[in-house]
Amino acid sequence: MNLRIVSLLFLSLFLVSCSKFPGEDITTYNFAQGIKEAELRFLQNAPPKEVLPSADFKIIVEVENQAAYPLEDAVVSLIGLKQPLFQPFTTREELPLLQGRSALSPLGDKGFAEFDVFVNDLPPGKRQKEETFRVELAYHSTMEFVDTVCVTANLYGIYDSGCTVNDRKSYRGQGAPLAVTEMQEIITPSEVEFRFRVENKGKGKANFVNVNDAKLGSDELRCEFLSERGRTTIKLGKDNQEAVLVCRGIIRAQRSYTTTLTIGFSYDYELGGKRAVSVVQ
Amino acid sequence: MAIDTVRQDIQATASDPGFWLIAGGLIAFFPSYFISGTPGAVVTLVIASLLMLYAGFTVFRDGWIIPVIFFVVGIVLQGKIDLGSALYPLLIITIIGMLVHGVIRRATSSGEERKGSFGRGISKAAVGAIPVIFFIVDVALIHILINPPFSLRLGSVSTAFLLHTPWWVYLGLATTKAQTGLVKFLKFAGILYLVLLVPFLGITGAQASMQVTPDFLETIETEQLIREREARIENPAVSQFKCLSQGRTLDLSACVAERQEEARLEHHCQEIEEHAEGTFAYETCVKEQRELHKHPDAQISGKVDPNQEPMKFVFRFDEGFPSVFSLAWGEPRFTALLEYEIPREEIDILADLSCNFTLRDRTASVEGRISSSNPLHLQERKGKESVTCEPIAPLNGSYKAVYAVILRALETQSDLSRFFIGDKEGENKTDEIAIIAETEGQLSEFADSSAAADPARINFGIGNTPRDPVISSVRSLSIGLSVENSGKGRIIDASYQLHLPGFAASCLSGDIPLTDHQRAAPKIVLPGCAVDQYPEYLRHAERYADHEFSAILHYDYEITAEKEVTVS
Repeated sequence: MNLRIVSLLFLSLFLVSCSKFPGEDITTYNFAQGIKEAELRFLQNAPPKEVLPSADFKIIVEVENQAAYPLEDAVVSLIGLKQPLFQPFTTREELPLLQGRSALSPLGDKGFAEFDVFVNDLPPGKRQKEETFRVELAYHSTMEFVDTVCVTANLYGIYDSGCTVNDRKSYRGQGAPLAVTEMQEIITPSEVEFRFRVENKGKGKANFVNVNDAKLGSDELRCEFLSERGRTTIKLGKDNQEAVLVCRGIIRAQRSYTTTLTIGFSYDYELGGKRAVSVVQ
Repeated sequence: MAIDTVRQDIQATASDPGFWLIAGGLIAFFPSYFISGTPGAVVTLVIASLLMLYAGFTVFRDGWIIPVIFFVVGIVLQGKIDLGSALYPLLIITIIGMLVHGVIRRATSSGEERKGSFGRGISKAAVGAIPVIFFIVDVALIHILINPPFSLRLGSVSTAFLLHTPWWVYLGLATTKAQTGLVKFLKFAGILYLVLLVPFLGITGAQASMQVTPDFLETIETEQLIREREARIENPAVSQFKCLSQGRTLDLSACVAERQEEARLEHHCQEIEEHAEGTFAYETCVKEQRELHKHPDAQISGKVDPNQEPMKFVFRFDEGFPSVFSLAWGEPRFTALLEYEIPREEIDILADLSCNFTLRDRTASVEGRISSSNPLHLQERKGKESVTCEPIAPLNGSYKAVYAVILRALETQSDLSRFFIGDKEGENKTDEIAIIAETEGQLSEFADSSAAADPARINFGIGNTPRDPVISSVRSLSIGLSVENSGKGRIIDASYQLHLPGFAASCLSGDIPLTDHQRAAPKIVLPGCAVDQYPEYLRHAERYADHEFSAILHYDYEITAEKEVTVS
């Protein structure tokens, strides 16, 4: 009996030490940190490494949302399967809403896209042919940047027993591939200006990035992307996956005070992977 | 006194082995242009072997052992000029030969001479590698350069340079010890010739253009073919001289390249296309060839797919073939073997056989009758058929027994990959092309169609330019075609069919009319055409669509083989 209790205790200790959330209670763990994104995997043997002509095979793609935000309108596409050697029955599969990781769902949602492909005969005299194809996941998601900032109308930083403005801060991410990695705070006599470096730090490609709402405390901030004057939407280029967002707000008090800064982003994202299949006669 | 000096000069020159190497080199240089096919290859091989042995025995004296080893192992045993498989074993044998030479030298030395005699023996034997290197350079340099491991693509001028250099002459010039007026003149002429040639030695690109590894004689035959073709093209040294005399000193290299290319185009239109100079057809041909040269993208090429097993047909003469036939044995009958490999699913190839006996000087011939089955139906994937030839008239003397087979209804399929990107333009197009390259690999790999290394194949391209593998629906599409005869025979009759489902164009199929020269020509450019219509799903592809197309060349192919026989 005692041995069982001791074994159970050791097992519990082992399980606790293996937790993904070391030293933290899962209910208080902040999932909105670091760079996390959807992961794309082929199920084992789907596709198989070798396939036969005049037969079907399956391609099954598992999408696991490791980000802290839901994936909406997620679509998995099969691209570049050589035709007419391969005849896929469909090349596009929509996934249901995949919730992000949270205290209620700490591992993140999973979805599966399944494709059936028929293999035609190889050209005469050919015994083997290796072909590469690509799967791409396209989705829409959000990201929220939240921090507590010190705001003061005091231009010269004279200590007024309140808080001190930190004019440049760096961040490791907000639990999504799109991340605010740096913030600058610039005080002017009438308003405060925040400059955010927004970057795609994930493995895929971010397309349109939109600022949904931006608040300093309860006050709305006026935002625009630096390279798109007056606009809160930007299309990121393939080789330039970053942008600078400028937001301005009014200062409510003469003395320094701390308040919450919240910026909500939404974005379109594409993530791909390739795989080879050999057709063997 | 003057007569004495001349006599001394002649004596000094005649006793110098280097001079005779120069003379031999000059003798070897010219006939190789004018004797074609296997006889030409044999002449080249014999002269080059003699010069190699002569250089080993006389010019490099103690270095005779390496040429002898090379000659015995490489030539007599029909070794292959394949750097990977033949030269390395040869190198080991050579090293053993050098060691033997060192041991002999040590064994035959005595006293003070014995000291270091082993090392001296080895090093003296090593200089024998020089004539061997010149032998390889003379008979097979281009073959070695364009095949793996070098796989260089030689420009037309550099090919001409390599072929127009009399290598043995330069070895003779470098080793001659005679200081006579004649030798000095030859040295001056040699340097002048090099000065005119050297500026044009340019090797560009890196792409294998021959896939076969033929045996030794075939290697020299290939080299011979290039030499025969190039002989009709102006010697670069002559081109340069003419350009200089025209005062084109500022753009000398461009002028030489132009002259060479013009000569090549004229040769193509006269000899391959068989148009008489000055005719409208000839002018049109030159104009078309010039356009093709200006826009290399329009020149359709193809490549061999190593994953596809090729069809092979060859005549073999085994040990039982009677090279000498005595009429006392009865009626002369000569049996060769037709060996074939047809790695295809449905096989039924008709082989029409014929034979004759041609006098060695080719002045007359006696028709032969195939007394074995004829025609043959080749229906196995791999097999051998005996082909027995009997003369229909009495034979007496030395002949060449010539066997021929026309293989009817051969089919070779070529495949081509293309990536359709719809109507994307600008940054979207660039992004999509980057994704294609990331997924599929280097796009240049998809420029040309690929086929098995069969005797002949059709090369085809389709795209905004025929060799561009990425197709945008914003621009028009065109098709380019050529037929490649990569075997050693002749294409007798040919037609083709492109399988482009949903495409409308005027050149999707057709017969290929062939002149006599075109039947044996390595490449025939066919007229291409514009694509009038193609499927909507490719025209409006949202993401890139990878599509493979195929083309089939239907053809009859003739191969011949000959063997010397003596009937008495």
